[in-house]
Amino acid sequence: MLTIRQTERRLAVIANWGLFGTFGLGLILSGVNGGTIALGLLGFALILVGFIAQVIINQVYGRGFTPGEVALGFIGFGIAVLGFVASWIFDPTFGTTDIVVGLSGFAAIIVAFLVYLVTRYGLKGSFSMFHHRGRH
Amino acid sequence: MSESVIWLLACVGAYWAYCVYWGAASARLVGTANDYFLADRGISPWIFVLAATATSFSGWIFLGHPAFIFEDGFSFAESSFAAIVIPLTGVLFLKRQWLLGKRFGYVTPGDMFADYFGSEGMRRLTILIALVFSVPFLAMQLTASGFLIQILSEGTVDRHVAMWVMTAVLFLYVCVGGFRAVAYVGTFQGLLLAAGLAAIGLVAYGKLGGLVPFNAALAKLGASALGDGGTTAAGYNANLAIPGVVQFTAGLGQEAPVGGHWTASMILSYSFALMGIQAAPAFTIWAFACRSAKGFGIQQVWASAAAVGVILVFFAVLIGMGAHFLGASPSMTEAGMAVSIWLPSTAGQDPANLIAYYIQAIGKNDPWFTGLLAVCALAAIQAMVAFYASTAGTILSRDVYKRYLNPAAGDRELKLYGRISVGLVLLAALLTASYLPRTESELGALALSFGFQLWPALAAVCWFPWLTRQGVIVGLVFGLVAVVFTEPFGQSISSFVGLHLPWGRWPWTIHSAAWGMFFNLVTCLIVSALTYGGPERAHRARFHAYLAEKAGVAPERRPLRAAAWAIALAWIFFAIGPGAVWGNDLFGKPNGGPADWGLSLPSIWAWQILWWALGVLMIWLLAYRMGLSTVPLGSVEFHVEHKPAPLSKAALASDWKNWFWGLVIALAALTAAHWIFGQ
Repeated sequence: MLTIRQTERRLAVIANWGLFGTFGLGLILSGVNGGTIALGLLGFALILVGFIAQVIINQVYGRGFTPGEVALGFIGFGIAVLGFVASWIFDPTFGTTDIVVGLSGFAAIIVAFLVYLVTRYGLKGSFSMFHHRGRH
Repeated sequence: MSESVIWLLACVGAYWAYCVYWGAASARLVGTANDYFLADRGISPWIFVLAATATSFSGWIFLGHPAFIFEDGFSFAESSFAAIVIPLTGVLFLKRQWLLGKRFGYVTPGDMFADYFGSEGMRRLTILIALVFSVPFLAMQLTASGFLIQILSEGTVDRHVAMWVMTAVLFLYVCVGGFRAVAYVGTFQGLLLAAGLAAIGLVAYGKLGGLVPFNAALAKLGASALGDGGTTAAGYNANLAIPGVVQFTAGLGQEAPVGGHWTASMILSYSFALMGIQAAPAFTIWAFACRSAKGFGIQQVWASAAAVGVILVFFAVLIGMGAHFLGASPSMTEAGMAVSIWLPSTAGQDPANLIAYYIQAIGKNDPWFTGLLAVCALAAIQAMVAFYASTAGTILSRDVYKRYLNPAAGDRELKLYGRISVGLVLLAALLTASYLPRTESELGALALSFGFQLWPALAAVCWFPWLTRQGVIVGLVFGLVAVVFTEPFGQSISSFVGLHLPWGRWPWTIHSAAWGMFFNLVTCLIVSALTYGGPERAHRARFHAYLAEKAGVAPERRPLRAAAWAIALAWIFFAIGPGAVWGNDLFGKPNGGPADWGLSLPSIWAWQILWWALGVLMIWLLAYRMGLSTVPLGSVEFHVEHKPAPLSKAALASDWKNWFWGLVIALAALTAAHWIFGQ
């Protein structure tokens, strides 16, 4: 059973993504749907704010991302990238605006994630983490 | 079924699943009755900050505030200072109540008042206020949510069905998870409330084309006499000016004030009513449930005054006033003032649901936002409903069941009766919302003013030992009666017995909260002066000695005290008091247009922005510099169980009779109310 502290951390994480995640996704959809780059990028910016907010929450509660959160993050990101690539290839209405929004947004998320890894674990530590995980 | 309705149902379904999840998660942490009623006094500061903000502002701000600005213009927008005056009550009383709760182990405000004043009568009055605050006020919120869903679902979901389903969800998570579930869900609700209102405001800003076209449209409005209020006595459009300091009219329903009823006196007295939110019995339970006092200042200064303030002063004005120029006012559209025709003209005929029309308009191009913004509005409404249902359940269980019916009740029984009480309160609210709309509006109008009548009692407990039991109780009774007879409920009662009062609602453009407080305070002071002294004085001094030790003003800050109160009084005078009328034309005449407006905004709006910023500073000064909301000095005692003196058998038997007759009278009153108001 989760302790009260763990429960509160979970509450903070869910509320954080419930706000920034939903509004971010909504704006990305609006940006893509209406062909408005600014709205789409604003959506990705909100996703980044959500990520930064979770890093702060982790700091406050003295722990890192849980394995479940990491898995969920990678799965969500993977599905989004796959959807983006599939739309680019198969959807004839997929225009330049959508490509600009998607590429910029995904690039920003990747950069933010790498910056997080480097600042938290150091350059060498970040590589070693993947290296060790790969070997075991 | 359109795409936006599908998104609406999906988002609302997901949100309700979230609520139920946290109800279940909280239930796993519930052991004792105190866990259930007060989350074991362990609510974290950040949870308090978000959830208490949600419960303070809630649905009436989200749905009602922009709608009233649309109807009454910038004179009503003065009540955006709710962001300052609501936490002002908290600054004065919250930390001290929290200290008393920790020290003496109180669970309900009834415990605190009965112990401090040594009076069971005070406990009963508190129960009465809590119930009047809860049932009709909750019914109003449920009604608003029903209309919201009905409009957004394009009639697919009937408003009654929406209300009943929402109440079922509320019952489920509040009943199962108790106060912890309310607080946990409240955090997300607080975020959604702020984000939703800001998002709709930003959309309105975008549709208006920015501030320049908006101001140009306001200038055209200022140069005309269009709008419900016509023009003020000074000849200004009533949308852009406060119609005087006071108007000695007989009251609404009898005599219409010139230029609308939002005079400076009305703004001030309505602000008093808003202060009733954090003075209401339910909010005392917030104080008792907090783990520490760390969150109080943050909630009051940054979450309420600063964050909600900026939303109300800017975004709510853009939504409310902007709607006139986005197609919601046919008369202004015909006069060529519309910037675009984006809202339906029906929005103007049904201003109470203005926000629903905004969401509907946004959803035409972006259907997912219909669902998302509807969830924001529902969350705002639900925050208050869940909180008041939970606290009313606590009060009924502790102050009625345990105190009078079964003093030996253990944790299990208390939790059971707490849950039953939550169900009863929600059911009463739901039935009122469904079948007694007139009763709902008449009794709901009493809620805020009733809450405000507890100010002298709270002032006595927290600050002034010279206010006596007799003074506070008699004053409170007089205050409640005065409130009733300056609201439609009192008018209906007097008409029913054949007595026609010569005044209407809010005579002299003064809200019932202020009428009640006038009689309350005068009576309280006179009776206190007559009954001062005696052994009760020593009993009360014990509480104040503890408060002075833990929450007294630090010696180095004492010289600031006079200045702080002078600043607070000056702020009240200029922001929400008689001085507010100077804002009408200090920065240019309302009909002068942008060329004449010194700050490129209508003078009254610039005035509101200025005094909002100064209000944030004032709250900061009181909360932090004066130490009214900072962490107390030294350690604070924990885990003390409050054990009120048992009622004697004779007293208990007498109380049984009292309760029996009280119940008979209450049922008779309900029957009469249904007969009078029922439709």
